[in-house]
Amino acid sequence: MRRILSLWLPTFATDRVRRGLVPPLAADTPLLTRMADKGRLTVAAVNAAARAKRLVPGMGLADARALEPQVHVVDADPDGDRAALERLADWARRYTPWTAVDPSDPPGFGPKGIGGGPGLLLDITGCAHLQGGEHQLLLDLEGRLAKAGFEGRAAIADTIGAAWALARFGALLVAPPGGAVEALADLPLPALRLGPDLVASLRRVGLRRVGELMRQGTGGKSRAALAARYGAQVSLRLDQALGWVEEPLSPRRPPARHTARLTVVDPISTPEGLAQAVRHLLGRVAASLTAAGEGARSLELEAWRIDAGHDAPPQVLGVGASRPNRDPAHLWRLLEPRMDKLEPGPGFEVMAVSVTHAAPFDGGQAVLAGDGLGELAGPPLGGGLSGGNPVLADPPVAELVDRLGARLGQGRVLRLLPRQSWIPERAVRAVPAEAQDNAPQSTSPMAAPPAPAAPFLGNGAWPADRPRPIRLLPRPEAVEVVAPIPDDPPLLFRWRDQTYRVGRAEGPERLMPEWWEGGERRPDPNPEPRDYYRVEDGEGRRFWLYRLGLYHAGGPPPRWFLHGFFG
Amino acid sequence: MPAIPPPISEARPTACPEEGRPGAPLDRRHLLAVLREQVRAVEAPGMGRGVVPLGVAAVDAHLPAAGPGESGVRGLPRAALHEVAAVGALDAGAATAFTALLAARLAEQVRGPILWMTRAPDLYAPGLDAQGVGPGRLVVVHAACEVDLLWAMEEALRCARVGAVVGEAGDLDLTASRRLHLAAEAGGVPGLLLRLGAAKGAKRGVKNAGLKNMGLKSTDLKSTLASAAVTRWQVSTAPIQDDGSAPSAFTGPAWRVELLRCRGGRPGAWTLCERGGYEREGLRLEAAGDVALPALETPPPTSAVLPFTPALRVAG
Repeated sequence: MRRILSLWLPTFATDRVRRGLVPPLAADTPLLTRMADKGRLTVAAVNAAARAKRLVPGMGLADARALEPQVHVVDADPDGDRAALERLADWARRYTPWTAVDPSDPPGFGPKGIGGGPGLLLDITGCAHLQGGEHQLLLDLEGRLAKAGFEGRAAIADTIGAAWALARFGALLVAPPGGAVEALADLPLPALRLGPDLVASLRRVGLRRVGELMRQGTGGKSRAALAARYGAQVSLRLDQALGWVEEPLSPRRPPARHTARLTVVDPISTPEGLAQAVRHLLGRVAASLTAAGEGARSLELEAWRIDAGHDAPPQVLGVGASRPNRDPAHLWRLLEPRMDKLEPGPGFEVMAVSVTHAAPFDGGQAVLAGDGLGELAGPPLGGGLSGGNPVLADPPVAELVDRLGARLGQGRVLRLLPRQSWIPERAVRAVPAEAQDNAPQSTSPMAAPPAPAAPFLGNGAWPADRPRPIRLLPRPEAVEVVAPIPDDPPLLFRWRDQTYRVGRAEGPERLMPEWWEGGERRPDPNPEPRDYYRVEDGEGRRFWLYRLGLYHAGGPPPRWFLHGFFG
Repeated sequence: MPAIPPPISEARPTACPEEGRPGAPLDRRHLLAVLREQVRAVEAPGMGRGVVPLGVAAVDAHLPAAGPGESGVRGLPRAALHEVAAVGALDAGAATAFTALLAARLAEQVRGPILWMTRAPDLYAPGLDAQGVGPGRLVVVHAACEVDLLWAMEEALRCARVGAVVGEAGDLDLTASRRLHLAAEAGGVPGLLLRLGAAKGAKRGVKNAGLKNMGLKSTDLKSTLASAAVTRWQVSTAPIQDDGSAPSAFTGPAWRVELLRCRGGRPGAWTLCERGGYEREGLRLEAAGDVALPALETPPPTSAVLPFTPALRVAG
């Protein structure tokens, strides 16, 4: 049986305004927000004190001022209200992962009528015992909101419709499971989320209470007559409230399939306590992953501070694993280096670990500690999910890559792979070490001896017959040279105020610009050919110089650059 | 009867003649050998796990010997921290290449990636590939700061499935290097510290020009000396001696390699040439010229532990 909590925030907009005012406004000061409506200023929302002075949303601002000259007027901010409501829905995830902003907004109902004002819906099925029962949860929620300056009314029932009605119109706050009929019978018709026009027409035929409508609608014949007379809306809302028609609740954020949360009485603030709590949660998530035959590719730790306001989002730590993993010890090693990013302050009272991305687990069989190297022994045969990436073939190495990536950032742990280009700076492709490699490669090149000389770029290696430096300057640096024209190597070059006399040289190796790179939007910045020379100075130091461009009669002389150092 | 020096360890060498036996023949040579072994065990703990010969007999003769089980084999201890320093800033290429060569050699017989921790943006993978560190096993870690680099090095060294770890560390105090060495011992993974800053007091001070602009840090002599590394190498380029056969031909590079310190071994200096580099038939290192070495008592079998490529030659 589902249990839904509906939270009604009747004066959300004005409560928000009042919280933001400095100095704070007394609670009994009339307050309203105004908006422009069809060329005149009207009242958008009022607080309880203003409502008591007979100010209602929808009336002209001038009328409102005439009724109550002392009223405090602020501009309405619908977008800000909406954003704040969504933050509130995120905050409410401390009670359950399944929270949403109440979408109920029947036409013509809006903020003007009775029961106007936004609300939240929480699916608390199976969550209430964490707070000590449904009554405790209600009290806790309302108490926290009141402390934050929000008036809120919440009710719990089996269906969205029943909870919605009880929150706004009911005296009873928690309808027992299956007790929706009794709980709703005495409520007025607007409690069924019907528009004012429908309510008025039902009232004309003498129906005032939900119970009367229920009696009308129970028999098959009269039920059909009810729908025919007043439209499908009436019977639909009634069926939804009573649970005869399922009404879906779309969570604001999709809840993770594998999640564990921990609510503690004494807030946790010490590093040891946090570590213990997180490891406990990881163990529970791992058990859930094991049952599903899956491993976590990424997971999130969320922590709510005891003193966090309603719109303070939980503190979040996210980590990723290179291959699906469900070893709590490894997941903890990923989280551990980042735990110091949490700011417990006076302490966390709710913590949750959820798997944001799960994938089928192929890590092999867990074995009895044979070599003591980890839970898993031996790389999966055939590469498995590690694709062509030989680094990930070995679970301990993959976990090491995860640890390095978790602390340093995934973009800092790289594999440098060949790329089909003759231009030196383009010949290397840096991919994160944790990424799957789809390039055709033998499955285990690490065990194999060095590949035979590859004359072409095609088979995934740099050409062996082209000597390449071991240190390549990120940007080639201009040098002054003395070189015979047209294409002899330099005799002398000057780099960073030092002159080097060339003893031997080899070259040129001409690299033509690759016009197919870049395209029209990103034209090649160097459309001229480069002639590379290997030169050695008198002390055996080897440099890689190139001449950009060719000698033309009458044209500017080509420029020379230093690009790298040989070993 | 001559006084016998007391054994260093509690466990007596079995070959040591007992003191109480007068007139027993004293095998002085054997006794000395046993004692040397004990001293070596004290000097360089953890070296018994295996050594990797470089394949150049002249150099290997200076390196520590393997454990008692494989007597006669000398080489670089695998589970240890080694240090390679460039003499000048422009020797960075030579030092990098030599380090890559050592890493490839140390990781030759094991699976597992070679992790290269660096802060410089100029490491070029095709050049490493030519030295035997191919793209299939190279993982480069770009650390943002020195602390991250050392942390990553230690983590990697403790992972037994890693082939080798190279770290381009800057200034390193004794504590940090000792910690790295202990990690290397614990994980059984060779660690290589590559120091590209020019050492002060190096012979060719001129080479320091342009150092600052290359983003390299200068290390001072003091910190260079205090290190827990088992071996320390200093590498610079050497002009190739023309042998007249092919004037001005561009052959493999020549390096001046000095073994400044070596626990369990002896320092030395060699000029090493890489013949036929860039052709991936395997690396050919050979000692050239001016090395005067004492004759070896037992010539090391070059392929006793590791079947090396037949291209390895011993010269000089």
